[in-house]
Amino acid sequence: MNETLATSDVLLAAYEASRGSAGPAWLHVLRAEGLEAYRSLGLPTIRHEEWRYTSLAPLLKQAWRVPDPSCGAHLRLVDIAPLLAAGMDSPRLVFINGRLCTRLSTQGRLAAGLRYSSLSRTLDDRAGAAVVQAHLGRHADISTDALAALNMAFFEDGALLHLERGHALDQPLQLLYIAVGRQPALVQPRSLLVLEEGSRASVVEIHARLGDCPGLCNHVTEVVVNERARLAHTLLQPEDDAGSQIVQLTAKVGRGAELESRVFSLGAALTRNNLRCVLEGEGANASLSGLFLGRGRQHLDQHLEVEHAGPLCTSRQLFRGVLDEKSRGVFSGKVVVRPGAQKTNAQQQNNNLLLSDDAQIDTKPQLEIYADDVQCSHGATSGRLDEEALFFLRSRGLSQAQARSLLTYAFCAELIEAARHPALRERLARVVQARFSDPRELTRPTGRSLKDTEPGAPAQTGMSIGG
Amino acid sequence: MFQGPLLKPRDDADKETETGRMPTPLLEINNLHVSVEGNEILHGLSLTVNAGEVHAIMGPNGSGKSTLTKVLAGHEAYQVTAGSVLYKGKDLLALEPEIRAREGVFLAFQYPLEIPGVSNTYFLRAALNAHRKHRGQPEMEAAPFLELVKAKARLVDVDPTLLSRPINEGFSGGEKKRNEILQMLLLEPALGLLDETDSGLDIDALKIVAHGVNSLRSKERGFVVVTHYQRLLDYIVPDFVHVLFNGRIAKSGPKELALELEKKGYGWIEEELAAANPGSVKV
Repeated sequence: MNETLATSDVLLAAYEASRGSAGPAWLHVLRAEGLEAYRSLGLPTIRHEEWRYTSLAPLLKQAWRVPDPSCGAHLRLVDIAPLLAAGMDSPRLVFINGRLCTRLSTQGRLAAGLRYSSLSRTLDDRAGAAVVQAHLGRHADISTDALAALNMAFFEDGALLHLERGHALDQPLQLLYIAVGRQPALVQPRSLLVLEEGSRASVVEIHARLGDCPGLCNHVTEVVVNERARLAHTLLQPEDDAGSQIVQLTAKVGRGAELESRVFSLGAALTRNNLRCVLEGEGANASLSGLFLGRGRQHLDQHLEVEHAGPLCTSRQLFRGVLDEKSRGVFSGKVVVRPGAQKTNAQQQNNNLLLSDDAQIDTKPQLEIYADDVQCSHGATSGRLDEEALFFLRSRGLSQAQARSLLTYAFCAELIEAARHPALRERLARVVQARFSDPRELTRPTGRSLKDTEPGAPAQTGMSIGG
Repeated sequence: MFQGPLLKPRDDADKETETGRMPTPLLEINNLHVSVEGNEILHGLSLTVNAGEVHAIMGPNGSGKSTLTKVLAGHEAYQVTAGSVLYKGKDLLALEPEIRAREGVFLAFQYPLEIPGVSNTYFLRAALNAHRKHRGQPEMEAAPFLELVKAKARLVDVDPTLLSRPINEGFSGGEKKRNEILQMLLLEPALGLLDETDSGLDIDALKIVAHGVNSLRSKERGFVVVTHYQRLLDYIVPDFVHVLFNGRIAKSGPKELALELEKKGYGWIEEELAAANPGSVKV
């Protein structure tokens, strides 16, 4: 598509034939800006301070393709049901390789004041297009984040949720993003969640991949919680041994508004979550928590930044990591208190449990405070299972495996219990108890319960969009 | 006064089997040497406990009382460097802690741990089912288990709301100790090791705990009760009292020995030892 592209840039190469002409002119401008920003930034390396502990180099060894649109055509409701964190009863939008699958999504008329659909469908409607145009790409920072810029340039599609003033979603909305394919594929979906004044919603994003073929998902979520609105957002990243996930979630929280963000990263070849929350209005409130689990050679990086821009805001961060075998975790949490953000109350905590001698965690809490009347605290711990507690449980007849599993669960319990949806809590409890039962007898199921191939499913072909 | 370290079952005749041979003792500790981080704490301790007996272990701080109970329960930090322990005639030291537990050894901890995030009931059922599985019995379902545990909880006055709370989290000192005894009531061990279960208890709680222990006393069970205070022994009346001194049993006697210790302290025992073995503390 563009002869000036460095041929070594495999991420761009995936799009060589894909530059479409669909969409409004303003979107073309945004995409062009994204591409421009990506090309000037280049992918970050470990020399970049924010990427010191996470190398993207392994990703560049892969020849990435854009998935064939026919991938996933065989998927049925029964295949995706186990992925739904909040059950089958609440509404859902299902995206396969970044494109809306209406067949698997819930249908039906939405009440006035509520709008959720794909971004591309929303653009067909004048009022919807106005919302998208006002917010898309306006919040995620592409000037410093090359991957967000890449997503801006090439995102396939994604979800939009818009609640008008004073409206509420009475059930959680599930955004299920499934990557599927039999060739190493790069998928870049996007979510845009806009809550107008006084509205309320609960959203669960699930970023799943089916199949054992390497995949890279580069996801951007933009969140706007306007004055007195309340959003509960859950990001669930099921275990994905062969896949890599990079997420940039940017949330702006207005006056008296509340954001509750829960992240569950259950392990991947590479997970990098950039979570950025700006408390813009007076009295805004953010509670961010996360649980990340690693085993094998998985790498999980939680990168947070909370910016207190307005006064009288509170923020809480609680992230816990459990790292087994040779897995590696990174927690980097920065709290920035801007001048004038007086009476800020910010607390940050990161606790890590290392289950093997080879597991590793790098944790870096940071405070940058430019106001004088603030209460900020941060703390980080890393440790092993308590030997005394293990002995206590074994002295009651529990096997070593049971005792380890129970104590690991106990370490995670506060975060699991913070999950809003009972089905999700049960699933997380099962995952934790099953996975850490005994590091010496780690036998994993070969393959997954969900397969990306089925009798009759179209065989995957080598592909490139438009090619 | 009853003298001498040798302990014989009091009612030998009752315990003789048809063949006239002595039954296998419940616990036979012989010349046990135990080290913690390279420091020897027990220097050749011997003790025999027969089924049906309650043995009280007293002694000054640092004499090795807790070490004895921990090593019997299988704590890995306590290393046996010499000696043997037979439990029902089998080598106890060869067993993992959980196997000892399932075979009927129970340690009531001096300082019960808090384990946030794990509900007491869940834990208790997992423990009981581990025992049941070991005995080849089917696991107990949640509903009948709840009935069972509530009944046992009443015996030691454990508030039913504590059952659904995380293990010992936010429990008072007395509640933690009663929770230990509740675990013992549920698991019905053959050998109960009580490590200063009375410490931190008021008199009412002490009576409740003692009642719980006494309800388990039977011809088949034995107890080793470690305590600093004679007071507990008013309620859990021992068959024998042993004074642990410098990692060995320095003196044994009937329950009245505890009263004497309460009155006179441990100094006289040290003097007796010195007099019996001038130039040495060897007993």
